[in-house]
Amino acid sequence: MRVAQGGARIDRGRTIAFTFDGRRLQGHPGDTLASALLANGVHLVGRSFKYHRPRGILTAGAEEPNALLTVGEGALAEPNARATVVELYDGLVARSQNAWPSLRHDFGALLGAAGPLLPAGFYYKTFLGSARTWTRVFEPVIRRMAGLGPAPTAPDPEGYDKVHAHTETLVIGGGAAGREAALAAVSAGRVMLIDEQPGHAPLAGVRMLERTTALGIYDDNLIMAVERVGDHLPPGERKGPRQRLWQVRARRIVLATGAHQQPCVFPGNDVPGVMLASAALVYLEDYGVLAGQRIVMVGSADGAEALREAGAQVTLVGEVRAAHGGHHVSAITDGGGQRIACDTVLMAGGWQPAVHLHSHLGGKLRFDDERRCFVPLEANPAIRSVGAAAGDIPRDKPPAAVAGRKAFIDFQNDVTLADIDLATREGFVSVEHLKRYTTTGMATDQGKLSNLNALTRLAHNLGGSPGTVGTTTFRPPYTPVTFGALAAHDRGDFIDPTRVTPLHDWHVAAGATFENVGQWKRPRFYPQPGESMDEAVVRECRAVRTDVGLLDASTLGKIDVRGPDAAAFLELVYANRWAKLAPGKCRYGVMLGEDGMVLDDGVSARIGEQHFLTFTTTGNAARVFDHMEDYLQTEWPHLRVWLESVTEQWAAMVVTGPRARDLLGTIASDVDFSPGAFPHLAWRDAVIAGHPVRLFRISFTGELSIEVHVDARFASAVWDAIVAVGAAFKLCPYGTEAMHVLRAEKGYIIIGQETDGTVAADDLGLGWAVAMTKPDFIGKRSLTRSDMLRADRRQLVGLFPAEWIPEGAQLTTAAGDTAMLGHVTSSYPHGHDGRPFALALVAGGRRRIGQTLFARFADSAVRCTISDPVFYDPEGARLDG
Amino acid sequence: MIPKAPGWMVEIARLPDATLITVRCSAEALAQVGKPAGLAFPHAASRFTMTGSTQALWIGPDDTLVIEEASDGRSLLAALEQAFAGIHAAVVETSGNRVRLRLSGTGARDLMARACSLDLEPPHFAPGHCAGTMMARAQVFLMQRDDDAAREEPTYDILVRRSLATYLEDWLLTAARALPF
Repeated sequence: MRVAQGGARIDRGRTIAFTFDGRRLQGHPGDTLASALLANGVHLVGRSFKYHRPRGILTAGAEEPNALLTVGEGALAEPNARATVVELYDGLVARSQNAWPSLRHDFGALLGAAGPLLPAGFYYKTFLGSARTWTRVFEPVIRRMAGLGPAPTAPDPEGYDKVHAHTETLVIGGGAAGREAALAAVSAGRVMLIDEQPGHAPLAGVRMLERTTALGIYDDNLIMAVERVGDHLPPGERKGPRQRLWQVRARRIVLATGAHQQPCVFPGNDVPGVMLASAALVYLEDYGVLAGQRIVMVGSADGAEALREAGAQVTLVGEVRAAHGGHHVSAITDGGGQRIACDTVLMAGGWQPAVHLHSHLGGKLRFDDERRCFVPLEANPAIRSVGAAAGDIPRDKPPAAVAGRKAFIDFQNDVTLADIDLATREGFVSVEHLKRYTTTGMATDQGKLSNLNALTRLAHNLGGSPGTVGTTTFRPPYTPVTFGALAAHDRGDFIDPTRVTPLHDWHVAAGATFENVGQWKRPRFYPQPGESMDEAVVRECRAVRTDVGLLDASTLGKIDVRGPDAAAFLELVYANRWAKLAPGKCRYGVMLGEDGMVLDDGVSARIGEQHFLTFTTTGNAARVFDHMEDYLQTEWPHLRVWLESVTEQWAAMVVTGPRARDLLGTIASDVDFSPGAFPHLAWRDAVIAGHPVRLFRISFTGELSIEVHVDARFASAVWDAIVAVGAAFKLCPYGTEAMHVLRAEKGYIIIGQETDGTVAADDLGLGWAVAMTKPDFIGKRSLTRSDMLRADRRQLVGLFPAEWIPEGAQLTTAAGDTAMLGHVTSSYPHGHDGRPFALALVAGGRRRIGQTLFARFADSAVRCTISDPVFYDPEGARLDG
Repeated sequence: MIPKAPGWMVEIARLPDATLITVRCSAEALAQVGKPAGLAFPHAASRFTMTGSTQALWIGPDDTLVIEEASDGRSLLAALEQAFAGIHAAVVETSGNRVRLRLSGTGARDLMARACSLDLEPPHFAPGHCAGTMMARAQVFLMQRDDDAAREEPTYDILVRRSLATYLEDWLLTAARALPF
């Protein structure tokens, strides 16, 4: 109830309304949800995790294990909010969790009566049965019974911000010790001070972040902290982001994180109305709320006078043997066995410094026998604890734990003193085993109020000191954090960067359907009105085979290789030969890994005696560049070569089809297109639309094909010039899907589709591109391993399936066989003759051409005839148009 | 957040296409070449020089990026090719590789703090400084352009891969909405 004394944080002049489980209540600006509930006499706020015990407000801070409520409604609902740190706002809607049908009459509480059947480790002992029993019976039941609040199912409509900051000194905690440390550091550069609460007086020269919780400290003094920017405002008044994640890099860190008062252990120590003594004083001093009228204090008399002055009747006892009551405490039995009626029990079970952040980077702890708590051992010169966090705490003499029914150690995970004792008896005597077996300290409060009592009890059971038992590891986050704050701006469209080519706008205007190729958006096909993907792809393929098609190939990786040793370098990184390739010519190359497997493939052009341009696949562009740079710097530093990525320097457009030469002939100047002057696998300089271009006779379709490469700044001008004359040649833009069909008909592989890191060049029929007579190249030594020479290696073949089959389908000899001979790597519904066709890797496949296999997928088995992987123009007659 | 003055703003602009030339050579070779076509190269890490409107960025110990504001910088390219002829060096035109964005206004540094993990407060990052870094998830070269270190409104030039320019612009515009709060 609200009293006249205290209330430093609240504005008594204004009243605001809120609801709890539908009840309309009132509080003041400055209240926390917990202080406002207590002011209204509401103590029962939740049901516990396992036994569904009535639970009240235990603390007045971040360490609260009990008072977890859902705050807000609909998509804005925040489950598991700690009422002790939720700032009250007008219209706040709070609901209790884990209770059905109501908080006062909870069906699950019947389980409490069955408590003896649910001892420590009960899930290891009880839920025995088949895996199916677990997923269908036990897990759904447990999830319902042991639920925290349900997360909203609608997308989070609120915004989150994420920001980096740098400072010479970061002080965490705005109490007296923290403020003193901050002021002392001002002369040594930038100082930031962060604190969980609002309302701090400014400090000269100190950047103050309020409503901000430090979640963790990471390597190189990176501190993650979350600032609650809008949480304290009614949803209608929130304008900016809801929360902001701070990533602070600090030269020095001062931990002024304070200490947490610990509960006493006795039967009924969780009954609503039993709370920490320090919390009751905070409620009185900061919020003008008296927790009860008839108060029993145990463990310390600190604050008794203030509580009396506020009107309470206070009884001090040396020991509480048990607290009694259901929804609210009604009496205790003291150490002498005397029953004392009361409505509040205040526990002072000693103090534990908040050493969590100290521990995140591996900081060690020492048990201080005199102060009965773990204190930080300073080892990292950049991180220092001050004040209560360093062990400057009251020297209370907490009473010994009292065994009995429902004497809780971990309030949130429902771990009792008896559970700790049982675990010890069953041999779980390491703290790490104790933690996992009983789940003590594993709840969302991370054992802030349970670890010390659990370890003290374990030590007692083992006849040692908590110092010899040790502690478990504290890990980030200090308090729970929403995923929204961690993701911040990187969600929705920004979850992964989108890369577009210089011609993207044209593709969008042309109505292209896009596909993701790595981070790239590439046109997959250009449907005409009413056209399906299948129809569009058939039309695009036919256009390339009969007239001319146009493809944006700008995403291809391109690496500029220069220097006197450029050819020698390529001889080493590729399996084939380059030394004698003449300037003006191109050659297809295969790149192997050290294991001899195909890593990448592509054409390289010799631009000059000491200058090559190497093309990689789209997906491997960065990997191949790194691979080459890695070898250059570490294995062959003597080679005089410079590598430069020019992937985005050059836009690339493929003009392919029988009429490609005729089309380009009308717009490209300074070049002789006759097959004699400009043969297949040659390149020439030319000019299109006033811009210098490079033309490459490279074919990935099997048709006469000319790639036009131009400075990306002028890509649109050149593309537009091609399109402008295109109509006369029935030019058809085509996408990656038609590109895949056209290349598959030629048996041309795609890295990552026909290869998976276990496929050698010879498996793909590319043995001709491996020059074993070269002295060395990457992967050479692996090619003579016995496994590489097996006759039954999987080899690339073609398939004619009776009907379309999916990629990935397994191939077997008979329709009912289970021995897998290989799998389908590429499959298309329509080849040039209208039939479905596929590529596959099949054990000893080249010897099986003409045989029949079955493609197996789902419950189907489709008959396939094995063929040569080149389905179209095997003589290569069409390459010259 | 430190409260913003009224009239707080940030501007994100795409600069006209320039000529970019990458020069790869050892630091010794760079010093040996001197000032071809009058161009002063940077010899200190993460600094750039200005020769008229032409900028030269230290990218790495053997990597320099030259930005010539004119779109057709063929004469500079030819001059550099000639200056480095006979030296183990590569002079590569990379104009198409990157797009330049300019970030300015009272909120520029705060917006950069969203996108970039570097310490951008003076003296840690000041006019004449440059860095290869990440902004959001895009690799960039970052330069602080203005001349006055004490200015409250730094101007940043950002060289981002052409394919990622729209992503980065959109990201910055979205993140900027969180700034005034």
